[in-house]
Amino acid sequence: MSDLASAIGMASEEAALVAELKAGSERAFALLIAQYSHTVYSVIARSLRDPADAADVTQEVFVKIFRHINGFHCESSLRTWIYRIALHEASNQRRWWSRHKRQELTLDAHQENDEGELFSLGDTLPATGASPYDSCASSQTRQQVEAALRTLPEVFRTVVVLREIEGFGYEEIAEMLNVNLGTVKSRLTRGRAALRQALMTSVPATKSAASPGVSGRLSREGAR
Amino acid sequence: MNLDTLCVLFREQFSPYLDGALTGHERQAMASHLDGCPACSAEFNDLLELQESLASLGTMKAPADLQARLRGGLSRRGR
Ligand SMILES: [Zn+2]
Repeated sequence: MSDLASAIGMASEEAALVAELKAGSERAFALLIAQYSHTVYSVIARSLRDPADAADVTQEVFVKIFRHINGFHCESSLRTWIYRIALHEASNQRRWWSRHKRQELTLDAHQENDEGELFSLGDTLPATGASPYDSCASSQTRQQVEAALRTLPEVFRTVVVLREIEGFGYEEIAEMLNVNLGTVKSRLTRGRAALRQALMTSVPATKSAASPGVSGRLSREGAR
Repeated sequence: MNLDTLCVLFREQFSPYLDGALTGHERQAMASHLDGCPACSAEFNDLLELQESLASLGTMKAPADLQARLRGGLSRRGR
Protein backbone atom coordinates (compact mmCIF):
# COMPACT_ATOMS: atom_id res chain seq x y z
CA MET A 1 0.00 0.00 0.00
CA SER A 2 2.80 2.41 0.86
CA ASP A 3 4.44 1.57 -2.48
CA LEU A 4 1.27 2.54 -4.25
CA ALA A 5 0.96 5.69 -2.19
CA SER A 6 4.52 6.70 -3.01
CA ALA A 7 3.97 5.91 -6.68
CA ILE A 8 0.93 8.18 -6.70
CA GLY A 9 2.91 10.77 -4.80
CA MET A 10 5.70 10.63 -7.37
CA ALA A 11 3.26 10.79 -10.27
CA SER A 12 1.53 13.88 -8.91
CA GLU A 13 4.90 15.46 -8.15
CA GLU A 14 5.90 14.80 -11.75
CA ALA A 15 2.61 16.18 -13.08
CA ALA A 16 3.22 19.34 -11.05
CA LEU A 17 6.74 19.65 -12.44
CA VAL A 18 5.48 19.14 -16.01
CA ALA A 19 2.84 21.83 -15.49
CA GLU A 20 5.50 24.25 -14.27
CA LEU A 21 7.75 23.39 -17.20
CA LYS A 22 4.92 24.06 -19.60
CA ALA A 23 4.33 27.39 -17.91
CA GLY A 24 7.95 28.26 -18.69
CA SER A 25 9.15 28.33 -15.11
CA GLU A 26 12.90 28.83 -14.98
CA ARG A 27 12.98 27.23 -11.55
CA ALA A 28 11.34 24.09 -12.95
CA PHE A 29 13.91 23.86 -15.74
CA ALA A 30 16.74 24.31 -13.25
CA LEU A 31 15.21 21.47 -11.22
CA LEU A 32 14.91 19.29 -14.30
CA ILE A 33 18.53 19.99 -15.20
CA ALA A 34 19.67 19.23 -11.66
CA GLN A 35 17.72 15.99 -11.67
CA TYR A 36 18.58 14.60 -15.10
CA SER A 37 21.62 16.26 -16.64
CA HIS A 38 24.26 13.96 -15.14
CA THR A 39 22.64 10.67 -16.05
CA VAL A 40 21.62 11.95 -19.49
CA TYR A 41 25.19 13.12 -20.05
CA SER A 42 26.51 9.74 -18.95
CA VAL A 43 24.26 7.72 -21.24
CA ILE A 44 25.15 10.00 -24.17
CA ALA A 45 28.89 9.90 -23.44
CA ARG A 46 28.85 6.10 -23.47
CA SER A 47 26.87 6.10 -26.67
CA LEU A 48 28.98 8.49 -28.77
CA ARG A 49 32.09 7.65 -30.74
CA ASP A 50 33.78 10.65 -29.15
CA PRO A 51 32.67 11.28 -25.53
CA ALA A 52 34.10 14.81 -25.82
CA ASP A 53 30.95 15.69 -27.79
CA ALA A 54 28.66 14.56 -24.97
CA ALA A 55 28.26 17.99 -23.34
CA ASP A 56 27.17 19.58 -26.63
CA VAL A 57 24.72 16.79 -27.35
CA THR A 58 23.36 17.03 -23.80
CA GLN A 59 22.82 20.72 -24.43
CA GLU A 60 20.84 19.89 -27.59
CA VAL A 61 18.75 17.42 -25.62
CA PHE A 62 17.74 20.00 -23.02
CA VAL A 63 16.98 22.57 -25.70
CA LYS A 64 14.67 19.99 -27.32
CA ILE A 65 13.00 19.26 -24.00
CA PHE A 66 12.51 22.98 -23.49
CA ARG A 67 11.02 23.42 -26.96
CA HIS A 68 8.81 20.38 -26.98
CA ILE A 69 7.57 20.13 -23.41
CA ASN A 70 4.17 21.42 -24.53
CA GLY A 71 3.84 18.35 -26.73
CA PHE A 72 4.44 16.02 -23.79
CA HIS A 73 1.13 14.72 -22.51
CA CYS A 74 2.29 12.11 -19.99
CA GLU A 75 1.90 9.21 -22.48
CA SER A 76 5.02 7.91 -20.80
CA SER A 77 6.86 9.00 -17.68
CA LEU A 78 8.78 12.25 -18.01
CA ARG A 79 11.98 10.30 -17.45
CA THR A 80 11.26 7.90 -20.32
CA TRP A 81 10.45 10.82 -22.60
CA ILE A 82 13.69 12.61 -21.71
CA TYR A 83 15.79 9.51 -22.37
CA ARG A 84 14.00 8.90 -25.63
CA ILE A 85 15.06 12.36 -26.78
CA ALA A 86 18.59 11.78 -25.48
CA LEU A 87 18.99 8.45 -27.28
CA HIS A 88 17.62 9.96 -30.46
CA GLU A 89 20.06 12.89 -30.34
CA ALA A 90 22.94 10.54 -29.59
CA SER A 91 22.00 8.43 -32.58
CA ASN A 92 21.87 11.51 -34.84
CA GLN A 93 25.29 12.51 -33.61
CA ARG A 94 26.69 9.03 -34.26
CA ARG A 95 25.31 9.13 -37.78
CA TRP A 96 26.85 12.57 -38.34
CA TRP A 97 30.12 11.31 -36.95
CA SER A 98 30.31 8.29 -39.25
CA ARG A 99 29.47 10.42 -42.30
CA HIS A 100 31.99 13.15 -41.59
CA LYS A 101 34.81 11.60 -39.63
CA ARG A 102 34.88 8.13 -41.08
CA GLN A 103 36.74 9.18 -44.21
CA GLU A 104 39.39 10.96 -42.20
CA LEU A 105 40.45 7.84 -40.38
CA THR A 106 43.16 5.59 -41.57
CA LEU A 107 41.72 2.15 -41.65
CA ASP A 108 44.70 0.37 -40.18
CA ALA A 109 44.31 2.28 -36.94
CA HIS A 110 40.64 1.45 -36.64
CA GLN A 111 38.60 -1.66 -36.40
CA GLU A 112 35.05 -2.30 -37.36
CA ASN A 113 32.61 -4.18 -35.18
CA ASP A 114 29.80 -6.43 -36.47
CA GLU A 115 27.66 -3.46 -37.38
CA GLY A 116 30.24 -1.57 -39.38
CA GLU A 117 30.89 0.89 -36.58
CA LEU A 118 34.48 1.97 -36.30
CA PHE A 119 36.39 1.99 -33.08
CA SER A 120 40.04 2.48 -32.40
CA LEU A 121 41.80 -0.16 -30.39
CA GLY A 122 44.38 2.43 -29.45
CA ASP A 123 41.67 4.64 -27.96
CA THR A 124 39.55 2.05 -26.33
CA LEU A 125 41.67 -0.76 -25.04
CA PRO A 126 43.74 0.41 -22.11
CA ALA A 127 47.44 -0.22 -22.41
CA THR A 128 47.50 -2.84 -19.71
CA GLY A 129 50.82 -3.05 -17.97
CA ALA A 130 51.87 0.39 -19.22
CA SER A 131 51.78 1.79 -15.71
CA PRO A 132 51.96 -1.21 -13.41
CA TYR A 133 52.85 0.77 -10.31
CA ASP A 134 50.23 3.45 -10.02
CA SER A 135 47.11 1.57 -11.04
CA CYS A 136 45.12 -0.39 -8.53
CA ALA A 137 43.50 -3.65 -9.54
CA SER A 138 39.90 -2.49 -9.37
CA SER A 139 40.38 0.64 -11.48
CA GLN A 140 42.28 -1.46 -13.99
CA THR A 141 39.32 -3.78 -14.25
CA ARG A 142 36.86 -0.91 -14.53
CA GLN A 143 38.94 0.58 -17.32
CA GLN A 144 38.94 -2.74 -19.14
CA VAL A 145 35.19 -3.16 -18.80
CA GLU A 146 34.62 0.42 -19.99
CA ALA A 147 36.88 -0.25 -22.98
CA ALA A 148 35.22 -3.56 -23.81
CA LEU A 149 31.86 -1.78 -23.65
CA ARG A 150 33.02 0.64 -26.34
CA THR A 151 33.74 -2.19 -28.74
CA LEU A 152 30.14 -3.45 -28.61
CA PRO A 153 27.76 -2.66 -31.45
CA GLU A 154 25.63 0.31 -30.45
CA VAL A 155 22.31 -1.57 -30.18
CA PHE A 156 23.78 -3.91 -27.60
CA ARG A 157 25.77 -1.26 -25.79
CA THR A 158 22.73 0.93 -25.26
CA VAL A 159 20.61 -1.75 -23.60
CA VAL A 160 23.53 -2.94 -21.48
CA VAL A 161 24.23 0.62 -20.29
CA LEU A 162 20.56 1.37 -19.60
CA ARG A 163 20.01 -1.88 -17.75
CA GLU A 164 23.29 -2.63 -15.97
CA ILE A 165 24.67 0.83 -15.29
CA GLU A 166 21.61 3.06 -15.12
CA GLY A 167 19.35 0.37 -13.66
CA PHE A 168 16.26 0.77 -15.88
CA GLY A 169 13.71 -2.04 -16.18
CA TYR A 170 12.91 -3.94 -19.38
CA GLU A 171 9.63 -2.10 -20.00
CA GLU A 172 11.12 1.34 -19.61
CA ILE A 173 14.04 0.50 -21.91
CA ALA A 174 11.60 -0.84 -24.50
CA GLU A 175 9.67 2.43 -24.36
CA MET A 176 12.81 4.54 -24.58
CA LEU A 177 14.04 2.68 -27.64
CA ASN A 178 10.60 2.13 -29.13
CA VAL A 179 11.18 -1.60 -29.50
CA ASN A 180 9.32 -4.53 -27.98
CA LEU A 181 10.21 -6.34 -24.77
CA GLY A 182 11.55 -9.39 -26.60
CA THR A 183 14.02 -7.20 -28.45
CA VAL A 184 15.27 -5.68 -25.21
CA LYS A 185 15.73 -9.13 -23.68
CA SER A 186 17.53 -10.59 -26.68
CA ARG A 187 19.81 -7.54 -27.04
CA LEU A 188 20.70 -7.86 -23.37
CA THR A 189 21.49 -11.54 -23.74
CA ARG A 190 23.63 -10.93 -26.79
CA GLY A 191 25.23 -7.81 -25.34
CA ARG A 192 26.26 -9.61 -22.18
CA ALA A 193 27.67 -12.52 -24.16
CA ALA A 194 29.57 -10.18 -26.49
CA LEU A 195 30.97 -8.22 -23.57
CA ARG A 196 32.14 -11.39 -21.86
CA GLN A 197 33.80 -12.39 -25.12
CA ALA A 198 35.44 -8.98 -25.56
CA LEU A 199 36.88 -9.13 -22.05
CA MET A 200 38.22 -12.62 -22.62
CA THR A 201 40.12 -11.55 -25.70
CA SER A 202 41.33 -8.14 -24.46
CA VAL A 203 42.78 -9.04 -21.09
CA PRO A 204 46.33 -10.32 -21.13
CA ALA A 205 47.06 -13.33 -18.95
CA THR A 206 49.55 -11.33 -16.90
CA LYS A 207 46.65 -9.43 -15.38
CA SER A 208 45.42 -12.58 -13.70
CA ALA A 209 46.24 -11.36 -10.21
CA ALA A 210 44.24 -8.18 -10.78
CA SER A 211 41.04 -9.94 -11.78
CA PRO A 212 40.69 -13.54 -10.71
CA GLY A 213 37.45 -14.13 -12.60
CA VAL A 214 38.89 -13.08 -15.90
CA SER A 215 41.99 -15.18 -15.35
CA GLY A 216 39.77 -18.14 -14.61
CA ARG A 217 38.08 -17.61 -17.94
CA LEU A 218 41.38 -17.27 -19.71
CA SER A 219 42.84 -20.46 -18.33
CA ARG A 220 39.65 -22.33 -19.18
CA GLU A 221 39.83 -20.94 -22.69
CA GLY A 222 43.48 -21.86 -22.97
CA ALA A 223 42.83 -25.41 -21.87
CA ARG A 224 40.43 -26.07 -24.72
CA MET B 1 16.84 -34.64 -23.86
CA ASN B 2 20.57 -34.88 -23.37
CA LEU B 3 22.48 -32.73 -20.96
CA ASP B 4 23.86 -30.37 -23.64
CA THR B 5 20.40 -29.44 -24.81
CA LEU B 6 19.42 -28.82 -21.22
CA CYS B 7 22.49 -26.62 -20.70
CA VAL B 8 21.64 -24.57 -23.79
CA LEU B 9 18.13 -23.98 -22.47
CA PHE B 10 19.39 -22.89 -19.08
CA ARG B 11 22.05 -20.64 -20.60
CA GLU B 12 19.42 -18.84 -22.61
CA GLN B 13 17.85 -17.94 -19.27
CA PHE B 14 21.04 -16.58 -17.69
CA SER B 15 20.28 -13.03 -18.73
CA PRO B 16 16.73 -12.86 -17.25
CA TYR B 17 18.05 -14.74 -14.21
CA LEU B 18 20.62 -11.96 -13.68
CA ASP B 19 17.80 -9.43 -13.94
CA GLY B 20 15.61 -11.24 -11.43
CA ALA B 21 13.07 -11.74 -14.21
CA LEU B 22 12.48 -15.47 -13.76
CA THR B 23 9.54 -16.91 -11.83
CA GLY B 24 10.07 -18.71 -8.53
CA HIS B 25 9.92 -22.15 -10.17
CA GLU B 26 12.31 -21.11 -12.94
CA ARG B 27 14.71 -19.72 -10.38
CA GLN B 28 14.65 -22.95 -8.38
CA ALA B 29 15.25 -25.04 -11.50
CA MET B 30 18.12 -22.76 -12.49
CA ALA B 31 19.70 -22.88 -9.04
CA SER B 32 19.60 -26.64 -8.93
CA HIS B 33 20.99 -26.96 -12.46
CA LEU B 34 23.86 -24.61 -11.58
CA ASP B 35 24.51 -26.68 -8.46
CA GLY B 36 24.98 -29.82 -10.50
CA CYS B 37 26.61 -28.43 -13.66
CA PRO B 38 30.12 -26.98 -13.24
CA ALA B 39 30.29 -25.78 -16.87
CA CYS B 40 27.10 -23.72 -16.65
CA SER B 41 28.00 -22.60 -13.18
CA ALA B 42 31.37 -21.26 -14.42
CA GLU B 43 29.76 -19.42 -17.31
CA PHE B 44 27.09 -17.98 -15.07
CA ASN B 45 29.68 -16.79 -12.56
CA ASP B 46 31.48 -14.94 -15.36
CA LEU B 47 28.27 -13.15 -16.25
CA LEU B 48 27.53 -12.40 -12.62
CA GLU B 49 30.99 -10.94 -12.22
CA LEU B 50 30.52 -8.91 -15.39
CA GLN B 51 27.23 -7.58 -14.02
CA GLU B 52 28.97 -6.47 -10.83
CA SER B 53 31.78 -4.79 -12.80
CA LEU B 54 29.27 -2.94 -14.95
CA ALA B 55 27.31 -1.76 -11.93
CA SER B 56 30.56 -0.49 -10.41
CA LEU B 57 31.25 1.71 -13.46
CA GLY B 58 28.46 4.04 -12.40
CA THR B 59 27.35 7.25 -14.04
CA MET B 60 30.12 8.98 -16.01
CA LYS B 61 31.37 12.18 -14.45
CA ALA B 62 29.99 15.20 -16.25
CA PRO B 63 32.00 18.44 -16.61
CA ALA B 64 31.62 20.55 -13.45
CA ASP B 65 30.05 23.42 -15.39
CA LEU B 66 27.51 21.27 -17.26
CA GLN B 67 24.43 22.37 -15.29
CA ALA B 68 25.38 26.05 -15.54
CA ARG B 69 25.96 25.65 -19.29
CA LEU B 70 22.57 24.02 -19.76
CA ARG B 71 20.76 26.70 -17.76
CA GLY B 72 22.62 29.41 -19.66
CA GLY B 73 21.82 27.80 -23.01
CA LEU B 74 18.12 27.75 -22.22
CA SER B 75 17.81 31.29 -20.93
CA ARG B 76 19.72 32.69 -23.94
CA ARG B 77 17.27 31.07 -26.28
CA GLY B 78 14.16 32.29 -24.49
CA ARG B 79 10.82 30.76 -25.41
ZN1 LIG C 1 24.62 -27.04 -17.68
